Amino acid sequence: MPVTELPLAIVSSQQSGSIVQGNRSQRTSWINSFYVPRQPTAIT
Amino acid sequence: MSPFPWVPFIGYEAVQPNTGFTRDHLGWQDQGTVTGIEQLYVIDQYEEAQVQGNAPPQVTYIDSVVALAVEANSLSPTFPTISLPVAVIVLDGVGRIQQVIDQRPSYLSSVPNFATVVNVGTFKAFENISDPTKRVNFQNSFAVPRSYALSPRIPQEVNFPCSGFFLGAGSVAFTQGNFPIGVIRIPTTYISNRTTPGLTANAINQGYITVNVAFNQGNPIVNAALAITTTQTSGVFPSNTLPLFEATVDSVNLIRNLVDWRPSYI
Repeated sequence: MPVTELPLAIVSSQQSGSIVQGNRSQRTSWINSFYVPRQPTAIT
Repeated sequence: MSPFPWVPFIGYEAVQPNTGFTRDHLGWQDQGTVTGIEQLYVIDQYEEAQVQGNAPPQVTYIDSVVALAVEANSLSPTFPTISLPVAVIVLDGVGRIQQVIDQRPSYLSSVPNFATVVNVGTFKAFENISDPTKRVNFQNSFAVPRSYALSPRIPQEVNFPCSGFFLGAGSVAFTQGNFPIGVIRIPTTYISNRTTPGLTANAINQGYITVNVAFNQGNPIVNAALAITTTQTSGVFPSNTLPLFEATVDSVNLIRNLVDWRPSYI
């Protein structure tokens, strides 16, 4: 089994221990978990 | 979180290995690259050793979750079967990140139907996206602007109060039985109290996609459209629709809150 990803949300979230967990059924929770920027981060 | 200390570009996260403990502090281990391409993933290294037959399978109390940046040979490399893929990055000759490709899984193998229309046959409607196994495709479909910042480097997309916002473009596909019978594309739409569909003052406005099937000389004509209606009950959308957002609008037509209600399907 791979590690289980815990979706995270900054809004509509609930505290569970030290982790702020999101709502699995909402897309925003999954977007926020391991957020990858949509635009390439070009460092100059 | 970043494979390079001066480039914190990947967001906060948490995972749970088979020990059951939650881990939200992972350091990225950069294993270097000659090709200039690296694949980033999270993995339990002890479990990986078990899968490879290098560690006793009965042991479940060792928690060895790490985040790795490993050399890759292509922009769409194969990730270890028990890993959580995060991204592929492209580095230039002096080690700067020039491209980031989102590889996070959607945990779906196909797009679920959001509507079923029974009308001389059974028609089903679902979001039309290129690869349902990748989260990024769902993220961009009918994108609802984010009203909160993920980090100082990833600011919000709208500030309140505001008069309107852009809802992202999306596409809806239809099947009859198992046969694809049409795709409706909905462009990026500006939404305010002056648009159609638009927002109503002093109300919670719900935005969603509705579908219908009409017939022309026996041939089905499918259609999908954005609809906005007001509600008293937040979070409850009409059946057979694709929920998108709720916007709370005050008496002078300013948006005071905007909540993304798109489903994750999981």
